[in-house]
Amino acid sequence: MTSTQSESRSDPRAGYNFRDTSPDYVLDPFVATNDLRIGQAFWTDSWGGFWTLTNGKDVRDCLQDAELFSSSGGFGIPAREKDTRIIPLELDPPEHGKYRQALGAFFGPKAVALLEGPLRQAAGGLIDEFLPDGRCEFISQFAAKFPTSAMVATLGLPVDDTAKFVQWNHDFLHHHSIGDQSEGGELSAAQRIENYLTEAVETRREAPRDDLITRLLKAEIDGRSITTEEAVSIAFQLFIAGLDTVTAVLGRSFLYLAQNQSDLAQLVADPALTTGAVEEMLRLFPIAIVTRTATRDVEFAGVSIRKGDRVLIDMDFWNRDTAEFADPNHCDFARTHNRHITFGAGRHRCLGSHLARLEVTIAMEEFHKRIPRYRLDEQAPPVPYADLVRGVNELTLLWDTK
Amino acid sequence: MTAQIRVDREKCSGHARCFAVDPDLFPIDESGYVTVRVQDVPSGQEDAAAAGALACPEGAITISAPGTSDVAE
Repeated sequence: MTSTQSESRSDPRAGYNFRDTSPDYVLDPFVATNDLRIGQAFWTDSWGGFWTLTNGKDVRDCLQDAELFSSSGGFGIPAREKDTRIIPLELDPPEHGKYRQALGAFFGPKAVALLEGPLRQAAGGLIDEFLPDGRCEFISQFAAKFPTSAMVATLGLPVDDTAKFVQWNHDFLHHHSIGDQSEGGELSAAQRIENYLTEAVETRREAPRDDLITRLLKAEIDGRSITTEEAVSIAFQLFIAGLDTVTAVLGRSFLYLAQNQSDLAQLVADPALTTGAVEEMLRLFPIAIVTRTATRDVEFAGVSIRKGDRVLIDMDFWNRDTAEFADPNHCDFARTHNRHITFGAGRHRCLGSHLARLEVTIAMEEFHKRIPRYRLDEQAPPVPYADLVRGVNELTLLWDTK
Repeated sequence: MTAQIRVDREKCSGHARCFAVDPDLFPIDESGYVTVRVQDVPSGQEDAAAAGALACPEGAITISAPGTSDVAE
């Protein structure tokens, strides 16, 4: 890291460069935000300008007040250029609630619990493939594939298309803002996903099946059935929200465990700690940053926010706030008070939170059952990335085979 | 007087963390939203009720008893 980058980060007046590409930052962007905890919000000029909230309570208050901080201004920093809104991500109440209500039961704790068997089998199958090798590139061989198979099963899409989805999703999310237009006449990843999902929706409208998309088409909004465009938009959001995020959590968690052998040993010795370990990994690595738009001039977070100002919400400011957590930078699998907001707060709470928790729990249990000890490969160091999502692109793990 | 669980249904966003602490004290609907509004805490379950309240990321749950101060938020 150069001294300039270090100074710019520790001086909030210079702004929050959440796209800093220096190796120290991308390896642990969560610790870097400690320098920015000044209590009040601060402004950054880059990418159209935005406020960053630095006090845990302000972060949660902002997420809970959908009237003051709207989601309809478009997702991202800068805000996504859009002709249509992503449903329900870019909707505000009361419109938002109509779609959430239609979706809630598909992703509720009880529905998700039914997926445990198939997901455990999928995870075990993936791990068994590379188990004898004594090494794996964890992201491409597991962390990218596993959530995709879960989403494919939930939506009712063909398993054979899994590899295609992994690629599209990667291409789509690793652009700086959601909704990039095509370059050089080629279809963008977003357009490819949309075309695919449109066909999937139209097929099911003609010939209903026993899957989520079919049931979604039966849902009613304001007493009328859901339109094809709405169903595609919803499926699109489930697709982009459910894949890369879980991949990122898995990447950050296994990177942490490989780097912290005593924590890994503790977890393997006492698998009952897994539930606590999952929560602690989620708390320490809130991989997604979200955004809102102020709907009026307001004194908030110690500053004067103007109508139309963009606000960046990094859940890390709550998750590591000393007002909420004792010794917040310390990893403690037995932490009893752990109401982190990695899945957000307020009406837009991550719809897939229950599925994500199950996926990460199963991944840890099935992996550790087969591979209780693993380490980083010094010849192939991890390649983390940090943007609005903070994950890992490459993570080579090694273990001893019998 | 008996302690009471009070849920701010406007704040509940379906995290179901209270349900994870005690599914009997904090039953949920199909989407994960707690169905309790006001309910007496059964004798002997004060600790579980308090733990459920403290598990809520939204601060939507309070445990109260007339004449005593609220715990949680």
